[in-house]
Amino acid sequence: MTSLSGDRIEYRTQVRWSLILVVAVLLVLTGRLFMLQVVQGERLETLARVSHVVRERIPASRGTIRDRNGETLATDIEVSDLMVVPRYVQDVRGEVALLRDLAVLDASQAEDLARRIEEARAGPQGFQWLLARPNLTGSLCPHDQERMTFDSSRGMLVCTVCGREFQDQRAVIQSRLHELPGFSLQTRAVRHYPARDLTAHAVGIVNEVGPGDIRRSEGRLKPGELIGRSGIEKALDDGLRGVPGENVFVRGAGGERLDPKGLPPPFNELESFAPRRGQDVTLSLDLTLQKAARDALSRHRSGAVVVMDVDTGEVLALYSHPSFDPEPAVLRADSSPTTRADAVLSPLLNKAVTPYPPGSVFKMVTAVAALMEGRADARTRIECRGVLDYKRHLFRCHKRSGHGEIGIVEAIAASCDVFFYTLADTLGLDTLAHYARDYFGIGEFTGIEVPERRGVVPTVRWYGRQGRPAYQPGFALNASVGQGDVRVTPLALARAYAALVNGGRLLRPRLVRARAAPATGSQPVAAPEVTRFLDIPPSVVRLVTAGLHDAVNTEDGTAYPARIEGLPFAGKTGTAQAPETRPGADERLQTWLKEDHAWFVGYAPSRRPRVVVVAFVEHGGFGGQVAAPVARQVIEAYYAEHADEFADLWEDFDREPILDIVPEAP
Amino acid sequence: MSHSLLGHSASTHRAGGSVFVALVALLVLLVVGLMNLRNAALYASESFHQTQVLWVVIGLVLAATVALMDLRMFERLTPVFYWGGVILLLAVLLVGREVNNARRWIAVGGIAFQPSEFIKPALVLMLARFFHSERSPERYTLRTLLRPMGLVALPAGLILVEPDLGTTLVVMAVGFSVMFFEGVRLRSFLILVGTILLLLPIAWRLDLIQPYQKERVRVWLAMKTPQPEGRKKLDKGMQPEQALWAVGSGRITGKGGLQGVQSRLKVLPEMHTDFILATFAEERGFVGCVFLFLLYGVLFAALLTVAVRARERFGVLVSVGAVAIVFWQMVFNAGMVLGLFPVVGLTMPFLSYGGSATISSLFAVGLALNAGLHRGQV
Ligand SMILES: [Zn+2]
Ligand SMILES: [Zn+2]
Repeated sequence: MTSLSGDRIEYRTQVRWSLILVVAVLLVLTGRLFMLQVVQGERLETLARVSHVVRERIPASRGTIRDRNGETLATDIEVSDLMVVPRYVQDVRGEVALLRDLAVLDASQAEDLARRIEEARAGPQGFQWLLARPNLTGSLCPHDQERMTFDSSRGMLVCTVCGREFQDQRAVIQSRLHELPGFSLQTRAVRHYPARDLTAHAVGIVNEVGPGDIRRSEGRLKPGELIGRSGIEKALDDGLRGVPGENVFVRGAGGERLDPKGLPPPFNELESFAPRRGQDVTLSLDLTLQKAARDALSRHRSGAVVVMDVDTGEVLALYSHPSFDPEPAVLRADSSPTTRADAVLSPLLNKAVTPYPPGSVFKMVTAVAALMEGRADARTRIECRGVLDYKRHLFRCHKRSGHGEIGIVEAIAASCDVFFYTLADTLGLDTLAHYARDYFGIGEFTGIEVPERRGVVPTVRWYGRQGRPAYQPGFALNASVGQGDVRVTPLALARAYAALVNGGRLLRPRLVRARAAPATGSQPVAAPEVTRFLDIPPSVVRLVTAGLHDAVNTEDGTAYPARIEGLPFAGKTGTAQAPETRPGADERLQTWLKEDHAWFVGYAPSRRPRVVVVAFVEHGGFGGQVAAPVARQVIEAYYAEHADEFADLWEDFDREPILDIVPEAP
Repeated sequence: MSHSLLGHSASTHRAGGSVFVALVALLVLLVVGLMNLRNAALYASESFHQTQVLWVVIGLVLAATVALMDLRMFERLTPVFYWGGVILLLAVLLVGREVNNARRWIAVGGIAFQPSEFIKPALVLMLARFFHSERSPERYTLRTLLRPMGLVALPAGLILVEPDLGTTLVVMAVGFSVMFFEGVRLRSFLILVGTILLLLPIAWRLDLIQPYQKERVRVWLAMKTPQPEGRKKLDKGMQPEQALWAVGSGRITGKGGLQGVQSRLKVLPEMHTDFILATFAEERGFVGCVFLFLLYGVLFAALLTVAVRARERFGVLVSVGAVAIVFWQMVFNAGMVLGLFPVVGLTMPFLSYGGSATISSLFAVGLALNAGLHRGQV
């Protein structure tokens, strides 16, 4: 008993201390509760209302691309997609039926959507966006693809061109959205190309960025955004794209949006910023001339037209035929796939910047070289008997009967091959190549903004490097008439001929006339960029241009049938042998591939050239019969467009085919 | 004699009163806990509170049985309980079910339970038996305490490996509580250690509070929401922060039943288990929490009072150890939810959902009551 009591007494102190400990600990916890619930309660309650911060990327709209007259070539169009979160839908059948009644969905689409929603609700995807109905455009007239504006008084979309009225499904859905829980409209930009195939190669296309682009962009690009893939869209992508903005807000615990400004730090430091629209670009292209080029080439299978301002290097037309339709399927009036040209005709290839054997249009270079090297002058006469026996190889003139004894002007006009073979023999291949490349820039990149390929001007060394076939002296003869291994792009020829008639300035061809941020207005048109000055004496220019004038405007000229009376143009025809085979070509196309390339390179008007025009018809046949009429049609369009400026020229035109040229000093 | 009798009857009377008070406090706690759990279940659109009623009933029956049993039987079986528990802890490491990268559960005959819950009372029994049989008239020195320390360290180490830091801490705290209660030389350190146990983490938290919160916010700001529900599954590291907001949102009087924003949105992943106190605090506020802590305080005080009425050393130590189990569990859990400690993963006795934890806590209460109820018997 005593021992038990003793035990009890022994523990009395421990019990007291234990109770003190329990009370002390509970007081500490209560103190902490007081701090949290009473002292900091208000702040913590605010924080509790916050679920998380949302950063919404606001896409920047891409800059608009226009032609020199302000015609839109590429612009952003807003397209809306009707999206749905399956688990937020309250009445699947009812809501889908409403969409059908609103003519947003047809019967089979409605059935399909209801099924997809039900499936998603059952699965783990129930909270993921589901595409209910894509591509509610509402921005383009379904009739003519022109822009529409929303007339809010009638609630209809009105076409700015044809005046037709359409129901805006987006507005209809928007007004009934409260009856469609779970559904919402999401807007995205689609690139619209009003000129369609007319400027497809020059303007280029965009499409959605891929994983590789996103990686390379180091965070600047996000999935779903657009990136330029070809043409100007690619070349000026950075400027056109703009800078996306960011909408930062705080999502409340109940899913509501909270203004960060009303929240404690660090939320009140969050800032949103608006997107910066991409730079607008004005191209030097002239839609009228593009159209003329397309019309002129439409009779032929394949080819290209280049029109360049001889003084500024601005490219007024750059058309490759057949073209393709860059318009995204979403914006096409008919949902059927576009009929794309036969792949054998390479519709995606920009033939204006692809090298081909030039044939006789290259004789301009040979003529300049011979005149400047002193191998020929105004008095030089060479007899053409239709064939030249060169070291036991026969080199034929295209005129089998021969041209007789002719001078350089007639030789250019009549395109006498023997005349140029004879000059080439005295010049040699490397001298010819020197003038072609170092003077006229053939075989160089022209420096145009869009991706291009460059031609070839063979030299003795070049043949050594190629190893096939070993160089023979006769190669110079072939090269002098643009055959053999000479390859030139239509654009490079335009630039070379422009340098001949603009006082010796080899220009960098340019598609971009002005780049402007939309807010600051148009920037001044940039000064022409001269690649180099060519010191070609006026006497040489006179002789060669006289030949080019006569080629079109005298009866013996190879392009005489294509001449324009009253305001003549000048130029050189070319017929280049280029037989080839292509996989996938049927018998008819195989025959076509055996034909010669038809060329015409010229300038207009003949006396005071404004533009240089290149017409190239791939495997088109005779240059004078096929390519010259194409050039003529484009030149006529140019004359028609600038009729006021040419009015006095038409009247006063002096038949004397001499240019008013004063060569500029470098 | 009369003095002794009087004292005897008075103390019996007091003991009876304490048992009554303890039972009332326990029952009120259980009711409050079940009501709170019902709300937590409703937030989650589930009904686990109904299952919890079953656990509570089983636990109460077990507690009553334990309270009325003769402790001497326990004393004889103590080594079996303890070493059996250690073997189970070893087994759980080898064949235990892995949940969230931790092996805590073991299935015996189709019933899954946590051996770490079982080892707590077993350790208390083992320590009580040690101090009872190896009784030293002098104060215990560190040297003589090596064996009981080993008895604590063995299960504590095994539980730490699972890993279950929270239970490890509870096991250690319980072990030291029994040792200090036995009046070892270090008795005066009792308060000190208790204070250190609390102050150390507080200081640690205060020191880290700035970079920690900034980092949380940074992680949080970076979160994006492509999902339409506007709510990404929250980072597990966010849990303590969210719990604090929930607690703070309760303010003084609380948001009221089923009005808890944080709780309603299921922000707290362990809402019905480890973080149940946050739900309670958000709904009932400071006033409710003080009432809850008072209930715990009354329960602990009453049980301690009952404990020292035991007829022998063994009974006293078992009772005190049993109180310590519930006490430290409650303290560590509250400290965790209130952001005083890092998240250690412990349930709140009588509030959290869970079969093993509920039964184990009630079992401990039964054990604590046993001493007082058997005082008169010889
Ligand atoms: Zn229209
Ligand atoms: Zn001839």
